[in-house]
Amino acid sequence: MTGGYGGVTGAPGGASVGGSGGHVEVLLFGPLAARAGAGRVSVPVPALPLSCGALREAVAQAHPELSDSLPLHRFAVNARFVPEDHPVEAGDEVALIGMVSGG
Amino acid sequence: MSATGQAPDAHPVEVRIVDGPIPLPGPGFAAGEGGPPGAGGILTFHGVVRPTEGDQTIRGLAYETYDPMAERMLGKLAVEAVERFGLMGFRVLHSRGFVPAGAASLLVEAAGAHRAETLEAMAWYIRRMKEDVPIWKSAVMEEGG
Repeated sequence: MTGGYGGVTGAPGGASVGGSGGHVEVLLFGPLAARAGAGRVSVPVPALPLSCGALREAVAQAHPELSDSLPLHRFAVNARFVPEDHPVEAGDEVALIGMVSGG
Repeated sequence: MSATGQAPDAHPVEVRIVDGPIPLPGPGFAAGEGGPPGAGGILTFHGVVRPTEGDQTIRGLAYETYDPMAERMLGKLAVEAVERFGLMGFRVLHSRGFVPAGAASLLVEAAGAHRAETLEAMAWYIRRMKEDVPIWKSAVMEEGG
């Protein structure tokens, strides 16, 4: 069961880190993207790997306009839902998935 | 693009996300294909875009998908439905992009030996889809609306 087509909002996000820290590009969709005014946000992080729970706090700190909504969102890493203790590694695609409304 | 697979017990599962509306009656077990051998119940659901959102008339809905996760999750749930309810086949088409009011944005088809499992599977699948599949819709208003 594979897809393999484009169509994601914006290009894939990614996590990278340099000598004094790095950043994680987090993909946003639906109402959260509308609130951010963009399909992705860049979040400074001290180091990778970083747990999704810690990344959630970093998103709230870097983008306070999103902080109210964040508790209602789940992380997907490399297009799979993951728990809060899942580590984000360099090169991972990271997305925040809120309430969905297909159908 | 399509994701066609076999559930572990070799019953067919097909899932696709398509651009724009789903043509009706659309491809399906009930559209001259006969369905899986031995199926005694074939249930088809069409999700159709309503012409109103609250008290406002709309032109249609715009569907945003997180690809390829959306198609993968549609397929994962389809395989789970086949296993959980003992179905003989399952097919899902969901729209991406703009779908005008009155047109279909979702087709789900379940085939089983008897009607009961198809009815239960359909309700279960659509509920789970609305919880876990990363697809979002937003209303496109009439101009001046």
